[in-house]
Amino acid sequence: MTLGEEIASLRDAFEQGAGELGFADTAWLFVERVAELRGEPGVVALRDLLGQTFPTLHFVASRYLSGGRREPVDVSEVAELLRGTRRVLIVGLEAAHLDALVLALPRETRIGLLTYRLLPVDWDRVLSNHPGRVEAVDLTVFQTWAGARSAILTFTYGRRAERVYVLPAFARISGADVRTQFRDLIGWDVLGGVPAVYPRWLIELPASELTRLVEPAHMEP
Amino acid sequence: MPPHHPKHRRHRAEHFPSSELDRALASVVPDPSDRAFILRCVLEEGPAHHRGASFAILRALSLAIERLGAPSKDLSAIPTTPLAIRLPPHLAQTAEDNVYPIGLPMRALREALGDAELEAAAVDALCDGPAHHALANAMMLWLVEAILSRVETSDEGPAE
Amino acid sequence: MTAPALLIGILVLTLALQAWLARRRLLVVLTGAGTSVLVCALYGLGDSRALLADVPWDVLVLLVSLGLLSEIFVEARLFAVLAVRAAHASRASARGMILIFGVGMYVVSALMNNLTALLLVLPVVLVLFRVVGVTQRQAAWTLGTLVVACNLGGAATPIGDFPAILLLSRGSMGFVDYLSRALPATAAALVVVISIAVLSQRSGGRPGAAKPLGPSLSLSLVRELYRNVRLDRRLAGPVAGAFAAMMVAWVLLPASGAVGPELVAWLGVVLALAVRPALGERLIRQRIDVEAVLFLLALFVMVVAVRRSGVFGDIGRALIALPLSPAAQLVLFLLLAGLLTGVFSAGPAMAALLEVAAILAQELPPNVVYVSLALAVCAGSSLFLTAATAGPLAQSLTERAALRDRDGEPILFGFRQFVPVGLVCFAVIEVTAIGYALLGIATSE
Repeated sequence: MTLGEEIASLRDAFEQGAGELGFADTAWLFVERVAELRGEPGVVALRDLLGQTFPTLHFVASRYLSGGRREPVDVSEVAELLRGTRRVLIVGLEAAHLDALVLALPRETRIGLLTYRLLPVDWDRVLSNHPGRVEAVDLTVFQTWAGARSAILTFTYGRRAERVYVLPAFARISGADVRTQFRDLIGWDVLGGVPAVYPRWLIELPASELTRLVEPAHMEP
Repeated sequence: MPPHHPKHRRHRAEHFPSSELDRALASVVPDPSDRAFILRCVLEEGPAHHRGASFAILRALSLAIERLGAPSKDLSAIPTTPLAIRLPPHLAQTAEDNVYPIGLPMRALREALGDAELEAAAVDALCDGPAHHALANAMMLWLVEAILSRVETSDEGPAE
Repeated sequence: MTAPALLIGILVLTLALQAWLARRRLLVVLTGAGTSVLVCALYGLGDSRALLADVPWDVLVLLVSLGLLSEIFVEARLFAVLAVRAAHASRASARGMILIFGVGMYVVSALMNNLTALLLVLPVVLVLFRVVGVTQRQAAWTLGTLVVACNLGGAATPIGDFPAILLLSRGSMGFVDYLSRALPATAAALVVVISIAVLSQRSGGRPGAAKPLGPSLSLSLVRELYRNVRLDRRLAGPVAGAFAAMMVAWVLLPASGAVGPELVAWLGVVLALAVRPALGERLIRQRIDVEAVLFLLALFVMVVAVRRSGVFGDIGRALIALPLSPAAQLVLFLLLAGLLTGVFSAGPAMAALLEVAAILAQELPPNVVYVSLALAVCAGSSLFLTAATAGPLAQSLTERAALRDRDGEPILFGFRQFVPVGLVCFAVIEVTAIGYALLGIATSE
């Protein structure tokens, strides 16, 4: 099997990871493992063969090839913004960020995870990583999490001018009515830039749809 | 309001300067995060003509308070009607913490209307509709209460 | 028409219909059971109260108790932790997965509810398939071997699965008597089945070749998917202790004593549930497999009705009257038992066949008859995917995973894909059953 065939055969694997770990988290996992086992040519193949289908992978592979490496998740600003919040409804899934947030928030803050995703997800498995701490929240009842001390937190994937890239799930729940039911609608950028290829799987929204946007220290233009 | 960290951005264009309103609201809603939530709903959500009209009236009322200058009485004793966050009825029953951090003050309303039926109808009208509308109504009534309180204080003359 | 003919007709028709209309099987068996009671009442064979009094409720108590015990271990995340460890031990290779997961499922099924175990272990296997890439042949053999390993594990101990539980609760055999005979026999069959399955797969890469990406990435992915999943030791520890105490009681208490195995299970599980009372209450309210209980209850009612008509006795006596040696009669019985189980599935077949076996056991060593029957039923439940409950579960989980091979063709695990695996495994286990029977008869003479 050639390197190209070997990399192309990882499509389903990436989709599996993206569903339950998140697009950015899985991209870093794949880039790091492929770099370890196949070196730079492997990462180039990953970017060129799977990057068109998974733009976050394209972004992460490109960043890796230009010397960038995965940085530890900095949860301090998000935790500060959420201080005093009783309920946080997470929209989207990024495992490393979710893990960090769960550790950073006080026990009395309830954390819900919206169980809506375009990719197949074993939600029991996802939640079993945070037993008793993260609750499944169905799309049909997410407004039971509304309140004057409630916030929605969604992961974002780069910003171009005043437009941010988010998962379609956020658009499903951020209607005009919902915006006044939650104290804050916070975006947390997990990528640090916008993928160069067509942002499949993501949708573009005005950044003003968010009340706050937390971005990494180094944002690519 | 949480500290404005350089790495997190407040994105909704701030067309209306809200610091005076924030100050005017502080005696009624002590928590800055709560005030930020209320002001966002009133000044940043809903149609532009509502946002503009609400801002203009609220600012004029807060200006009146500033001009009166006299110290206000303690407003916390004024009875209020809670302002519910509007949720689908079947979800509202199970939701917790589903009232806004500001209620509808009732003292001025009672004095002005003087009739229980009229008062009930007025409360319905003031609380109904989208959140930005109901919250603006509540804010306006609180500012009216503050004005009346200052007027009463100045009528009574300086405290001995 | 006579009552025996009517009752046996209802039984056979119901069993055939429930196998054919698997998705309506509860409705089918409850209708069959109700009709059987009506026939008994009309022909003076007994009313519903009398028939229900003959139902072996102790078997149902054992099944519910052991099911709840498995659920506590699920809550302690035991199966997820074991599955992840198995994934790493297998190195995500085709042969490694068959070997490690096959042996793992055998051990787990020997002690606990194999459906629960499969429900939690299979997702890990399917993730590995999806990530490493899988061929139709590999999927069929790996998943098929897991289903058969579940069946063999269930037959290995008296608490593993319904047929063995039935033997234990009826007092047909003691705990240790069954265990000491069935465990080696099923283990031997497992070795043969796994060896054949392993040999059916291509070996890994050449020595010295670059480490393949798929397996390596899949293991990293599995590690991440279960990154925070830890065994809840504070729950698992005391519950394992209660389970160990139950095992000791089953081994030491006489089969015919006042404290039967079902009471041991009942008290043991209540004790285990009390470790975390809120959780225990929730498990009792929400996790008891009512479907399985109702299905078996309906089967028991039908079998009780047929027994009252005397048909089983007639079949047993006809078998004994055949001009064959007792050993040949037993071999014939075992072959029929295997095939009938293949068609009607393990629960119904065992419930009916045990009545006939009791008559054969009057002529032959009872332990030989019962253990070889349990093995033959195990063989039959491995013949077709529909014959054991683990099969349809594996099928639906695989369908949901929507796997594809390298050419984009969907990977299926249904009746047809299981046939080659099933035929081989049926042959292996049936030969084991017959071999065990002949050896047992020879050594007892």
